[in-house]
Amino acid sequence: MNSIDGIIALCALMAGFALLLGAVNEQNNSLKEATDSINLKTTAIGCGAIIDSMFANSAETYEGKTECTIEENKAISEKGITTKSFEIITNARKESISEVETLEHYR
Amino acid sequence: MKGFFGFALCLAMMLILVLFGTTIQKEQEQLEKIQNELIIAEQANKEKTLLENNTDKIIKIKLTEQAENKNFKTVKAQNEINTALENYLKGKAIAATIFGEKIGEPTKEFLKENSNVMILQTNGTVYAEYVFTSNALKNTTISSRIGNKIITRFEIPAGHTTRIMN
Repeated sequence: MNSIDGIIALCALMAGFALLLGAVNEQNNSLKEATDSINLKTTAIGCGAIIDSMFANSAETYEGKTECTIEENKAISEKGITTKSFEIITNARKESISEVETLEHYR
Repeated sequence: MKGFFGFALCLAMMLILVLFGTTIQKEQEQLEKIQNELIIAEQANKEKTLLENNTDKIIKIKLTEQAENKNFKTVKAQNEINTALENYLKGKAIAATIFGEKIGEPTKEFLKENSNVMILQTNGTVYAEYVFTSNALKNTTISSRIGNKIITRFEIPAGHTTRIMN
């Protein structure tokens, strides 16, 4: 009787551990998704803010690195199936380099 | 046993919270970096506007002086305006091609070759005009690259004209 009690207790303990590990793993996956989502949104906001600043300040070029695609008035950042976008105030396009339409100034 | 599971769960949750906090902190740092770039761009634009406004002001003041003094010797008038411009632009802008290649400093000689002054009087009214004409090929300019990563460009375009009537 005592040995059966022991086995049952061990099984219960293992099941408990498995449940706990499963829950932690699930949380970890959700956390990774949330982290990616935040990261993509930050990247899109960063690209959008730079393009908006180029427009507002009639800038000529941006010599930094951007990691987003640009479609008309949206800066888009994507990884896998997750996509985050940020609306910009002007039209822009990105092929090999990004092109931002700015207003002519001092003319 | 209940206490152990509770502790383990608590520990796991705390770990997740710490990881989440680190991510948020990292993103915040990235946004702050971008914010700094944007502030530098705003400052560059301010600098560019100051250069434009002051260049216009210098030309206008000097041109008005020439008109008030009825100095119809345009070479002398052009020389005076260009001297003031050279003094202001020295160290702030360069003589360049329209593609941004440096030719040299915006000296009086360069300005003389790239500008034109006209002062006329009719019915007691003096009309004066200063034009940055560029050269015969229209491929020279006075320009300056301002900024860190977001680059703005100060440029006096060919054909930039200041007119006054006195």
